[in-house]
Formats: sequence, structure tokens, C-alpha cells
Amino acid sequence: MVRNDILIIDNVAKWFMTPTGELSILDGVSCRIQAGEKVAIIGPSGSGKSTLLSLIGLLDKPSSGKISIAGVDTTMLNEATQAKFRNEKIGFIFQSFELIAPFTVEENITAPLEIGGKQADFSNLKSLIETLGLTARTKAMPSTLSGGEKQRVAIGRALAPLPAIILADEPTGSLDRATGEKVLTLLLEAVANAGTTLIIITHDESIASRMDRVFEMSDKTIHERV
Amino acid sequence: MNEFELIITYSYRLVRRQWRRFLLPFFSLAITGVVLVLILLLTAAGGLLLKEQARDLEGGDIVLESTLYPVDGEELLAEAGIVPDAVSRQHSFQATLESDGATAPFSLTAVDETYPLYGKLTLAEGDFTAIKTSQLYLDLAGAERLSVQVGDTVKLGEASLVVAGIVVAEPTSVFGGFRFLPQAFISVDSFALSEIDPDLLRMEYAYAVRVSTLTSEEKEAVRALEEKYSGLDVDIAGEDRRGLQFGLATVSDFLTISVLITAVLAAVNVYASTLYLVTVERRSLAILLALGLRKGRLIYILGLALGAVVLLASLLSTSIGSGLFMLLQSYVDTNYLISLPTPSLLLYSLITTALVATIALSSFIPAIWRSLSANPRQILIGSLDETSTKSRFARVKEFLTLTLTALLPLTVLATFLLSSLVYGLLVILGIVVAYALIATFYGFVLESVYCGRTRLSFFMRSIINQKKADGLFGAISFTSLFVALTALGTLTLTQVSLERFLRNDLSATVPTTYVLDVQPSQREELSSNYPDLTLFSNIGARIIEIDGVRIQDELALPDSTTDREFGREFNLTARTELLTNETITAGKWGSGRPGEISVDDSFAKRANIEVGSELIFRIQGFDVAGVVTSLRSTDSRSGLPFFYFVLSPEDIGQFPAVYFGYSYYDEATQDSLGSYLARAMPNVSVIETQTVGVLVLRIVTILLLLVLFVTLPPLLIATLLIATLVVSSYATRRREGARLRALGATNRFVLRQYLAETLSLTLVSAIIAYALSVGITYGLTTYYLDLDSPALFSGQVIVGVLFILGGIAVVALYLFLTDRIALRELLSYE
Repeated sequence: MVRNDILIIDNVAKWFMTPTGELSILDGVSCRIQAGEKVAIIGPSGSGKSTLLSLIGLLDKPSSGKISIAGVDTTMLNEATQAKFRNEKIGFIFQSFELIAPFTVEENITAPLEIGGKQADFSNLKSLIETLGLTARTKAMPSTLSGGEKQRVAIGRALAPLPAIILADEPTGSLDRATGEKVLTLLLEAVANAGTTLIIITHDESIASRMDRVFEMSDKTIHERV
Repeated sequence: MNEFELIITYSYRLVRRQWRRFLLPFFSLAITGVVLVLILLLTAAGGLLLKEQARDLEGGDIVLESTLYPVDGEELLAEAGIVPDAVSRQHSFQATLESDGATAPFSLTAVDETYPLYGKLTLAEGDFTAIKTSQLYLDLAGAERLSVQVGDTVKLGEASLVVAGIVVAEPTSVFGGFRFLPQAFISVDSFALSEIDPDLLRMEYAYAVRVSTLTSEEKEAVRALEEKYSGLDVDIAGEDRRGLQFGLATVSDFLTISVLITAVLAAVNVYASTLYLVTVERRSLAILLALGLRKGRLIYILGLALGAVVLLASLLSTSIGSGLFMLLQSYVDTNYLISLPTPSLLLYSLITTALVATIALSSFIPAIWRSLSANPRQILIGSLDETSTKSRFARVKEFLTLTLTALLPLTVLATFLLSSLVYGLLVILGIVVAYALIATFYGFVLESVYCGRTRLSFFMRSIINQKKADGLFGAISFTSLFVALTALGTLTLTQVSLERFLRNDLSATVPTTYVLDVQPSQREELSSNYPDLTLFSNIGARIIEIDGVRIQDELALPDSTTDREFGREFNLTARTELLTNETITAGKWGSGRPGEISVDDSFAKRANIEVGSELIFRIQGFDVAGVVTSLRSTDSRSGLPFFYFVLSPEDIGQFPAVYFGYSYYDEATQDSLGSYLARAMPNVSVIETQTVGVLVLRIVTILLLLVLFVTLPPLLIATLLIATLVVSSYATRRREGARLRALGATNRFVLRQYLAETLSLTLVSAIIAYALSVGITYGLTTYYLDLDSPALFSGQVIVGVLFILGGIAVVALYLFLTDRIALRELLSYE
């Protein structure tokens, strides 16, 4: 069977220099994820989940090892190419939303398209906004939104450019259970419709159980739960 | 840990943990303090100096003067009920002195043994005691002109005078030579030996007195003498602005303006810094609120932290400021022989500390008020721009409260500096109105652009959205920047105006030679020997009637609104030809027929005189009437004689007059004329414009150095303000920049956006600020400093703005390029 690996993490390590010496966060992390898969990464706090997500999302560089996305070795890209790659291939959903405060809901959702110089497909966009239940809030500013609404905007923003991978860092962590459930359902539906790969970091086993595969982080490395 | 310990501990750790964030307010306060204490000390010292110099310049606390008769001061002062402690009789005149090889016109003062009443005459050879008969003291310029040194003999008329000393510093001038002619001093007896007829001289008799105290009633009584006795002038030290005193007073006024502008900038700077500090700390404080700390306790936490910063900054700044003042004092003493008085360092340090503390406090109150009004949950979940959820009314109220509270200490300062609550309030009211107008204008323009942003590129929209989201802080930043740039523009334009006023550069038509005080009996002889001299009669007259209105009677009315200047004596001349520096603006230049009068057009406007108006003058007791046939404008820079009124020779030729003349002689002819006048007409003075020009430039250079010195601190403060805004702007932008980068924007894109956003704000502010500066400068120079030609354009301002833009770009680039925090961290932490 031919594997269609969208993400290959090969022996990745990450360490930081601290006043007391070298602090290793990740060591010998390797895994492969196929296109369209929904993957959860779980693990205790401080196990390096968010660090790994940052490395996959090109927000940081590994100290050693290689990360390939859609066949491209991202560790070899320069800053400008990384930015372009991030814009085209990766969508982010942060726990703290990270919406652009001065932008309206609509502007936040279309921001990746605008940055990438792409023309927004209005019918797709309208459909996405409808799916997320944000039709009445398109002109609203982030500061006037509820937590659930903010995260729905973040999902919309991540999906709008139709990326290859969506990286979600505890997307329901700031929300109450009911709202979190709604948001997660929306996310999974949207990802399924778009055929996008989803990598989600979570502490919540019930969320992890809804994914195709689950990876656990411990001892600075990653293991797939069988 | 109880609540008290929590407050102390948190404050201490806040300063220790966030010391970098306190650096900017600390340096802002410290520099503000240095500038404030330095300028307050300088202003106080300058004020004291001017006060003392006013007495020196006047020659006494009260000086009675007359150009018509010797002043019997004893009797006059007794009439006013004043008993002087000491008196000095002097008479001054211009005359030509002759040495073995040269002649030169001098301003001579014949003095008695009590001269000088104030200050001291410093000689190159030592201290001056009292002048003796046949002795002459002259300044260095005079000694050089005559090529003489101590012990040489100089002739004044028939008197042979021995040079007894070279005057280094004279009590009558703070700058040692604010006179067109070299100065010399002789005794009253020596003047008698010269055998010059006093009637040939334009003599000024003076009776100077020293009094220990002078009440306002005594001042009124002595002023009443002026009204009572025709030809008598009464000068009270520090109250009359004439000649050099006017120049000094102008500089003093300029100093006050500079102090006020500096204070405004300093306050804005501290305000912006403090607001920034509290804004960035609000999230941590909100956690304390969430943990149950009462909101009011936050005041103590931040207050303690800021108090420590204020105290440290005040201690440092007053020490540095006082040290700088003493260094400056020593420099001025060594280089300019001016002993700047030392005001109370402790007093002004305390005043500065109080002002800095008040400014910081009143900046702190609105900032903490903003924090307290925030919802802790909103802050904790990351919604810092909670102002956008408030009603329009609430936002306007908040803006007004913040602005008014921040300007409160400025009102105190303005009142202190202007010595008037009314003026202080008016000035601050003006600032508030300007502030509100600018903020409203900014809000209006931003709203308009925001509404139409969909047509613009993502890059432009990002900038506009960001500005819109800045809300109150954005408006304050813009307005602060605007105030700083307006102050810079105003200062520079005022400086250029003052420079222009002081330099008053003379055009090419300026004659090389002037002769003064030619008597009627000397006129023919002088004209026959030197036919190229153009002589004008010069005769004193008062206006009696303008179109049937009795001017002197009108002025005598208790509620008279007539311009008091119309009551003074004017110099009239008679001639039939229009000078090259004159232009007829109305009517027709007369042909010399009796009854024709030409009037200066600016005076005509003030006095409502038109072509056809009927005027009556009183000349030496006789009334002379005429009709205005023309109005003239005169180029005052031409150096040619200026008269308000030109009459027909037939009308005033019959009255004895002195003559004033000019010519374009070369150096050899000037020497010949000087020798001739020294021998035949020592009462006539020759002025060579080359010599005068050097003196004027020397004075101007000294004054401009002073002006430059007082201009530098506001420039420093304004620059710091701009730097503060750029730094704080960057701190709030880096997270937004990180979000854009996470979405695929390149580092370069974010940098370009940040630079464009910062520079565009400065550029727009600069353009509007320049326009306002022009308006302020015009008003300031025309109505406050009484300058003739305010400067409305200055290349320095353009260069300055470009320099600031360049500086901002450099600071912004530095901040951006040295930012080592990884993108991941920016998106994870505050």
C-alpha cells in the first residue's frame, strides 16, 4: 500500500539554552501522518506537546532532525519561504484564539488569503461562515465576541485558505464543556468536509477518542497509542 | 502574608521584575526633572540678573532725565515725597574725540564722583574708584579706534584728556557694548574744559537716585512728575522697556515661553510613559483582582512602585540639573564676565520634585482609573481593548477625564511661570482646546478612512484597523506627537523670527556714513566742505489736532481710549523729494507747497488719517497746520532716514532744527570727515556703518547663543517623547505582528507595516503641526514679542522633521531587528 504521508517527523530534537545549562524538551521524536488523518497528541503538561506543534507549524526550528510537510523539508526553508509555506499549507487554532484584535470577524477569517495574495472565493467563504454560525457577526470586533465565537472565528481562519494541515493547540481549553463540544464538532465536520489533516493537542481523552490516531508524549519523545 | 505585606512585596517585586518597563518612565521623569530644574534655575537667575541689570541700565532705582534742561532732581523728588539714599548727576552726549593719528565719534558720559550708583566699572588695569579732572576712561573698541593706550592724550574740543583706563565691563550693559558708538567717561569738570557749547550738543541730563524701597504710591507720585513737567522723563528700574532693556525683556519672555513649552512636552511625555506602564501591567493586576484583592488596593501597589521611580528620578535629576547650572554659571562668568546670581538650589529642587511628582501622580490617576474600570475576566482572557465595548459617551467622558487630569499640574506650572492664575488658566485652556480639537480631528479622519477601507489593500487596511483599534491610546499618542511637533515647529519659527528681528540685516542701500546733531549754524559750512552729504532737518513737534479732534485734550480725559503714543513728541522733517526707500501708497507726493503733509501709512492706519485729513502740529510753541496729500510706506531695512511726517520746507524751515545726514563715502573720505569734525565741530558725530555692523553682530551672536541654549531642552524632551511613543507602539504591535506571521506574513511584511504605521503617523502629525506652528508663531511674535516680521517658513523645521522621521525609523528598525523572542514564545506569552 502506498502511503500518502503529509507529515514526516524524523528524529527531531529541541533544546533551549538556559542560565543553568541546556534544557532538552524533545529528543528523538519521529512519526508519520497521512493526508486527511485526524490525529491527537496527548501528554502531561511540560511534555513538549506545544513545542512539537510549534515545530510542525514552522513557528520554531528544531535543534536537530527533519520535518517534512507535503514532501518539503521545512527545516531547510528560509524565513520568507517558511512564511509562504505556512500561509499555504498550515492553519493554526490556538487555545487563546490569537485573533487579530483590530480586524473584524470577516477580516480575521480572510486574513490568510489576503496575506497570501489570493482572491477569496466568496461562495466558499459564505458557506464556511454559515457553517460556523457566524453570519450575523461578520462585522463584529473580536473584543465583542464570546469565547466560543472567538474559537469559531479561529477555526474559520484556519480553514479559509484550505491548508494541508490544521494544527490545533487545545482548541477547547478556554471554553466550557458544552461550548467546547459544539466547537469541536464544528471543527471535525469542517475538517472532514475539506479533507484536511488535523493535528490536535489535548488533555481530554474524550476528544482524543474521536481522532483516527492518538500519540502520547512522554520522556521527551512520542509514541503512538495502539 | 497579610494585605499590607502583599502590597509592599508586590510593589517591590514589580519594580525588580519589570525594571525594564520602568526605565522609560524613569528616564522620562529624570530628563524632565533635569530640564525643569535647569530651566527654573536659569529663569530665576536670569530674572534676578535682569532685575539687577535693569537698575544698572537705568543707572539707579529712579532716573529723571531731560533733553531740554538740567534736572533739578532734589526738588522734584521732594515733591514726590522720596528721600534718596544716594544720587548721581550725569549728562551724556555724542562727540568726536581725536588722538594723534585718528578721530572717532563717541558716546560720552560726564559723571560726578558718585557714579556709578549700581554695579561697578571694571577696568583692564583694576578697579575704578572715582573720575578726576582731565581723565578719560574709554572702552577697548574706542581705544582701538583712536589707537591709544593708558597714558596717551586725547583731545575733546579744547580739553586735553589723559587716558586713565580701559573699560572692560561697564555697569550699564550686561553684554558689554550694546551701543553703536564706543563709550567714554569723563568728569563734569573735564567737559567744562572742552569749551564745547552745550547748546550745540544733543545733551541728555540725568539725575539718578538710589532708594532702599519704593512703594507703589511713591512710584505713582514720581510718575506724576512726568505728566506735570514737560520735557521730563521718569524711568523706574525694571518697569520701563527701552532699547537694550527691551531686547533683554524680549529674551526673557522667550525664556518663559520655552519653559512652558518644555513643561507641556514633559507632561505629555510622562503621561504617555505612565499610561503605557500601567497598561502593560494591567493583566497581572487583574489576576490579583481575580484572587480577591480589592480594586482600591491596586492604587497602593502601583503608587508605591511609581513613587519609588519618581523619588529616584527626582533625586537624580535635581542633582544633575543643579550641577549643570553651576557649570553653566562658571562658564558664563569666565567667558562673558556676567555673574549669574544663584537662586535657592534647594527651593528649586523641591519645586521640581513636587512638579515631577504631581505630573506623575496625575498621569497615574487616570491610568489606574482605566485599570479599575476594566473587567478582570475580559483582561484575563486577553481582551485588552475593552474600551471598544463602551458607549460613545463613556469613551468621550473617559478621554476628557484623562486629559483634564493630566493637564492639572500644567495649570499650576503655567500659573507659577506666568505669575497669574488667569493667564495660567487661559494658556492651559488653550492647550485643552487644541488637544480636544486635534483628537476630534484625528478621530473624524480615522473614522472616515476606516469606513472606506474596503477599497484599500490589505497592507493599508491592517494599518487603518490597527489605528482604529488603538482607540484612546492611539488618540493620545497622535495628539502627543502632534503637540511635540507643534512645539518644535513653534520654537524653531520663533527662534528664526527672533534672529531675524535681532539681525535686521541691512540692505545694500545702507549708507556708509551718518552724521548726527549738525546744528543750524554748522549746516552751511559742513555742506560746502562735504557737498555729498544729504542733510535732513529734524524738529520735534506734538500732534494737536487730527480732523478736528483735539488729541492732547482727548488724551487728558480719564477714560480716554486714544493711543497714548499720539501724545508723544514726533520728529518732523521737511523735504521735497521722495527717498528711494519710500513708496507712495495713497495720494500724491507733494511739490513742496506750504500746507502739504506726507504721513507714514502704518501710522496713518493707527490714527485713522487719510489723504485729505487735516493735521495741526505744535512746534516750539507755534501751531502749524496742513492737509495730508500722501501716505507713504518705508523700507525700514534700507538704512535711510525714517520720519512719520514730512512737511513742506516753507512750513517748518523757519524753526531752528538739528540736522541728520548720510552719504556713501569711502574710507579715506570718512577719515577726512572725522578729522574735520573733531577739530571744527566736535559736537557732530560720525557713524560708520561697518563699525556698527560688527557690534550689532556681536550682540546678536550672544543673544542667539542664549536662545539656542533655551531651545535645546524642549528639543530633547520632544525627541524623547517620540522615542517613547515608538517604543510603546512596538511593544503593543509585536504580538499582532506575531499573529500575522503565524498566518503566513513574512517578517519583512510585518516590519514594513510597522514602519509605515509609525512613520505615517509622524508625517501626518508633522504636516498639521507645522501649519499650527505657523499660526502660533505668528500670534506669538506679533502680539507677545512685538516682532515686526515673523518667520512663517523654516528649512530647519523641514530638516528637523526629516531628522525625526529618520530617527524614528532607526529606533523602530533597532527594536525590530534586535527582538530575539521566538515567534512561538510571542504567541504563547504576554
